[in-house]
Amino acid sequence: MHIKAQDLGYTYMKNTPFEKKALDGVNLEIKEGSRVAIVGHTGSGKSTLVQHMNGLLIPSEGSLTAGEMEIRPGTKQKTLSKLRQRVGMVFQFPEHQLFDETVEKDVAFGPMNFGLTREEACGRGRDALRKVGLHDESLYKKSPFELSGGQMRRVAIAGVLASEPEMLILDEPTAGLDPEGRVKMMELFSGWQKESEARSYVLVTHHMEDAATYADYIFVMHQGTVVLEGSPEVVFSHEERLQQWGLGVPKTTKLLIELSKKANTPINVASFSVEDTAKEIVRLLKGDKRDV
Amino acid sequence: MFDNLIIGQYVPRESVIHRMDPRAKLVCLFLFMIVLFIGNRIIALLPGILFVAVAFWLAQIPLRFFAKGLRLIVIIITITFILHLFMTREGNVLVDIGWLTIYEGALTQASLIAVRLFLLVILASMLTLTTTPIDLTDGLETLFGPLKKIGVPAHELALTMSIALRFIPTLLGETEKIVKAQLARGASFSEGSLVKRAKALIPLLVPLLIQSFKRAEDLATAMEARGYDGSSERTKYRELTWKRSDTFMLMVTILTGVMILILRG
Ligand SMILES: Nc1ncnc2c1ncn2[C@@H]1O[C@H](COP(=O)(O)OP(=O)(O)O)[C@@H](O)[C@H]1O
Ligand SMILES: [Mg+2]
Repeated sequence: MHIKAQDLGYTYMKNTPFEKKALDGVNLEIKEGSRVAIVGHTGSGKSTLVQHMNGLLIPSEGSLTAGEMEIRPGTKQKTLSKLRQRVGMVFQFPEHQLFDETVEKDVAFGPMNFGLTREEACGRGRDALRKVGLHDESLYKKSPFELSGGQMRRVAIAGVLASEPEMLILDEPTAGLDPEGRVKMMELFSGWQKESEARSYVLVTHHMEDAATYADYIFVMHQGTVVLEGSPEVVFSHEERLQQWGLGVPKTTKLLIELSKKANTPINVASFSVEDTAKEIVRLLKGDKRDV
Repeated sequence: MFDNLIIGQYVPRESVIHRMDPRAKLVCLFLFMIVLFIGNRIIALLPGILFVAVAFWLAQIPLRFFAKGLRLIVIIITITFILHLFMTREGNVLVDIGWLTIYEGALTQASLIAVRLFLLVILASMLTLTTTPIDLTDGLETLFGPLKKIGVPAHELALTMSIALRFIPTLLGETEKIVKAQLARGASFSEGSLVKRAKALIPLLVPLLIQSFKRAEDLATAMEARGYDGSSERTKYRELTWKRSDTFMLMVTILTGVMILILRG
C-alpha cells in the first residue's frame, strides 16, 4: 500500500496543561511492496507516526494518505475500518492483547470483525498459526494464557496476520526477546513480506542491525520530525549526525569505520552482514585498494 | 483518548495552594464540607462561593481545562437539579401549565443542592489537582494516625491508597494501548446496541484484569524481597511541615464557616 504524509502534525492532550506536540511537519512517502525502517531515540515520535498509518490517530495538522484513503483533521474513526483491515499492526508486547477462551477464537477475532463468517475466520486463523510456526493443533483449543511467553507472542502475531493485511506496522515487535528470538521473529516478518509483491512493512526499531538487515529504506526521526532518510548505506554513512540524535550505527559498520581510521585507508563501511564485513577486512589486510 | 479526565491528575504549579500542607488542605476540605450542609439558604452559601472562587484563582489551574474536565459532573448536577425541581412539593406554586407545576420550595431546594454539590466537587477536585498523590497519602496517614490506637490500620490504608493512585496512570496507559491494539484488529467500541457495546468491552477488560493481577503479584514479591513490613515503626524521608500560612488558611476556612452559620436561616 502506498503511504504519503504531508506536513503531518500531531498534538497529544490538546488544550490541556499537558499538551504535547509529538509530530511536527512530517513529510514522507512509502512505496507499495517496500521494507521500511523507522529509527529514532525514545520519545522522538515513532509510535505516534506509525499509528497514523492505520488511522488509530487522526492528524492534528496536515494529512496522511493511505492507498486511496485520505485522512485529515476531522476525519471520523468510523470510516477507517476498511483501512485497518489492509494495514495490520503489531505492537510492543503484542501478547498483552490476547483475551479469548481459546487460541483459535482469539486468532479469528480480527477476520470476524472485518466481516468474515466464523468458519472462514477460523480457516484463516489456522493458516496464520501455521505461518508463525505453531503447527501443533492441540494448542489451538487451549486457552492462550496457558501458553509460554514466546508462544503467546506468536499467537498474537497470528491474530494480526489472520486478517490478511497488505501492510504490517511493526512497532518494536522484538522487545524483550533474546538475540536468537529476535532473528527468528524478524525472519518471520521478512518471509511474510516476500510472499507477495504488494506486501510491505514498516519496522520501528532500536536495533540499527535490524534496520540495516531488514529494511531497504530508513527514516530517522528526531523530536517529532524526519531528519534523515535513505538507503541503509546512505543513512549509516552519517555516523556523527546519528550520534547527535542519540543513535548509533550497526556494529559491523562501527568496526569498519574504526579500522578505516586506524589504517588510514578508505574502505566500504556499508557492509551489514558478518560475511560482507569479513570480506571487507580481508581485502583491507591484503592491501587491496580497489575503488570503494 | 482520556484527554479530558481530570480525576486524580496533578497539575504542577507554584501557587500558594500547591504549597499548602496536605493536612491543612484535607482539614479545610472536611470543614468546608460540613459547613456547606449547614448552610440552608442560598444567601448563606455566598461566603462559600466566594471562598471557592478565591481558592480557585489562587491555585492557577487553567479555567478551560478545568471546565472541560467537569463537564460530566455538571451534567449529573443538572439532572439532580431538574429532578428536585419536579419532585419537591413545598411552598407556593410558581409555575402551573397543565401537567407541569413548579413550587417555590422546589426551586430553592433544587438550587441549594446544586450549588452545594458544585462547590464541593470544585473544591475536592482542586485538592487532587494541586497535591501530589504522595503528599495526599502522607497527609491522610498522619490525620488518621491517632485512630491506630483503636485498631484502624492507618498505615496500611494509606499504603493501599498510594499504590492505587500510583497505578492510575499506568492503568490508563495500558487501557489506551489495548484499546488501540483491538481497534487495529477491527474491534469497535462505539457502535451498535447497548448489549453489543457491552460485549465489545470483553476484549478490553480481560487483558486489563490479567495484567493487573500479574502486576499486583510482582509488586507483592518485590516488596517482600526487600523486607517491607508495614507494621513496624517506619521513619520518613520526607516529613510534612506545618507552616504559619497553613494556620492562616485554616483560619480563613473557619471564618467562612462562621459566616455561613450566621447567615443561615
Ligand atoms: N498517549 C500519550 N499522551 C500524551 N503524550 C504522549 C502519549 N504518547 C506519547 N506521548 C508523547 O509524545 C512523544 C512521542 O512519543 P512516541 O511517539 O511514543 O515516541 P517513540 O515511539 O519514538 O518513543 C513523547 O514525548 C511522549 O511522551
Ligand atoms: Mg514507541
